[in-house]
Amino acid sequence: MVFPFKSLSDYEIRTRPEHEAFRNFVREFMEKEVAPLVTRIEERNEFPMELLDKVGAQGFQGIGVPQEYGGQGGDQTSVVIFSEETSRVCPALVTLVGVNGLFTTPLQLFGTEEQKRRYLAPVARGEKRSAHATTEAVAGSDVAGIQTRAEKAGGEWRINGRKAFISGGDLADFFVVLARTAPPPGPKERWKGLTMFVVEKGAKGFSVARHMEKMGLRGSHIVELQLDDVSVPEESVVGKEGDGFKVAMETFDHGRIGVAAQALGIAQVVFEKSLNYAMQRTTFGRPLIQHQMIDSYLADMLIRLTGARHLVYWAASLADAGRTEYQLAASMAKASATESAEWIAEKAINIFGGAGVIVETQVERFLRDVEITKVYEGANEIQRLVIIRQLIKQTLGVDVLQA
Amino acid sequence: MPTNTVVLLKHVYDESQLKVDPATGGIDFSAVPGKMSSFDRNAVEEALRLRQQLGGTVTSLTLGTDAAVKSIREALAMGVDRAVLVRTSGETDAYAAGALLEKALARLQPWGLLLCAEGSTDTYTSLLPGMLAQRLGLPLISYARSLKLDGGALVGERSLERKTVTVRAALPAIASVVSEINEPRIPTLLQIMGAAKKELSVTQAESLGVTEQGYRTESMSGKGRERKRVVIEGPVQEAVSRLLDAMTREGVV
Repeated sequence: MVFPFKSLSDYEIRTRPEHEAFRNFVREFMEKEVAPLVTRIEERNEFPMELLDKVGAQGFQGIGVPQEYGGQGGDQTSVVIFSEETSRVCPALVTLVGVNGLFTTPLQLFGTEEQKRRYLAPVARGEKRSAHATTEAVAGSDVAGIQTRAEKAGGEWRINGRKAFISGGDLADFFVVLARTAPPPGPKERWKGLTMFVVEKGAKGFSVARHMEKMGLRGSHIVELQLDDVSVPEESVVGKEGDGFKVAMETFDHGRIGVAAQALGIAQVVFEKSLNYAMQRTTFGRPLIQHQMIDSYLADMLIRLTGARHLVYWAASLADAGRTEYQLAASMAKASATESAEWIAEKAINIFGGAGVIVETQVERFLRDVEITKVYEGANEIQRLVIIRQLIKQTLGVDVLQA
Repeated sequence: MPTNTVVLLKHVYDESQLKVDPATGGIDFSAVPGKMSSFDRNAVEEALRLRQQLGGTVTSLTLGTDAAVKSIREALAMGVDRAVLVRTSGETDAYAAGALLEKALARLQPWGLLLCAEGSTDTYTSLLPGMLAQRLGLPLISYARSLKLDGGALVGERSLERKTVTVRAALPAIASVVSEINEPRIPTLLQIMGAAKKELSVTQAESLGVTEQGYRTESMSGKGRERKRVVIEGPVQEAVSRLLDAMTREGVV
């Protein structure tokens, strides 16, 4: 036994030649189509729509969606490869594409056949865009604390409330929206009585209320959504009425690994840039790479980068093998990769010196971009709770909170 | 009547990853990754584009070792219908390659169009298109920057040094393309995964009964380029004229 796993082989990373081919082609796409536009995207805080259309046509919005619903039928390793390679050039694009996964995942896992046919295919093929609306100004990690409500009226549901920090909400045609449909039975069961709905853009009473400015990921926008008596039919419920908490949590479990890979791509690119700079830049009469303290930085950057890469791809391998330990691994990967990436990006600025904070050097933007990866898709503080609770559950079969 | 196309595909060393020992000029090929010869991707793209009008299939033909499978799968992902690998034990010179490909192409009959790149991005001899045209007795449109079908004929714009020449050849014909001809497509994940299931048949080069041999590469070395690193200092007027003098001496102006 290699605690908390059974044997050393449980730590294997499994990839196939197709994964490597996919990596090369994603890199080619990003370097050819996206890299030349990054400065413009940063300056204008906007992606050209033609570029987003190309991204959609390339099938990137449907990597994890099964073929029968218009997707690419890819595994988690493929999702991770896309996320890492895209982030290496433009982390904001990972978020813009990734939010579609937060819409397609709950439908794949809990949706009816009709919901899948209606919503999955157009999003997977890149013809429509989508977003996920759980978070509110008053409830982020505390999902059960949301205040948006839905009430049954006739054969319909009527939704009222306001959602905040919704990535891609300004571009989306379809949304999943979490609302409270019944009061919690008791203070210890706050997670009960929530329901997930599909809401389409243009529904009466549904609007983008406000754009919120933020520090990084320029080009990807976050908005507040207002829902005033928005009527949706009974068929809009995703999963069962009252199961919304579970739908949301399982969705985040799936998405977590994509965020870890987004951070990994950031760590990778700033390390590459730093090494390159250290080889070229001369101070005190010799190249930076000959200064011991710089080498120490670079070595620590590579140690963290490599450790994070192993965790991320290992978690993806566990997911692809259908192992329940995936949750534990994904939480470790997310916390490790995002915090390593932040550390590496900060050290990169030390290596670049003053040039590191100059926008055109293209280093500082990665430090701005990495911050949110520690927060969204389950804040790293929450990841740590998950890690220990899952560990105890997995190894001892005990729920820590009940013990 | 649908017309089939054959496209030649070569797996080469990635020239951007070559490392030359500055002292000896030696090149260590063992650590150099392989890739599809860059212009071959243009030939594949053109074959796929013309397939829409020709209506037949596109088969890729490769001479090389098992390492070439990586590039072959990429072409299959792009949309090539099936692939043939003529397996060799190592490098083949252009003359022997011409003889081997002639035999392999005979086995792939019927086809009406043979596409290839103007040259491969490793040795770049550019000998093969002409040699195959001669061996097969077919017209060749070389250095094509555009190709189109017109009735039963292939019309190509040839990109020559100081001029562009438009020529017409009846099918069956051969064309070699330059990189300006198109923008090769990037396959989707679905296409990449689908390529793993497409037909790839392997033929041993020895089984083709070719005895011809042209030349053998005895050695290969990298050339270092010494930089002179001349720094000219002083007042601008004076420095500029000294710079001009220096550049004239070097023959660059």
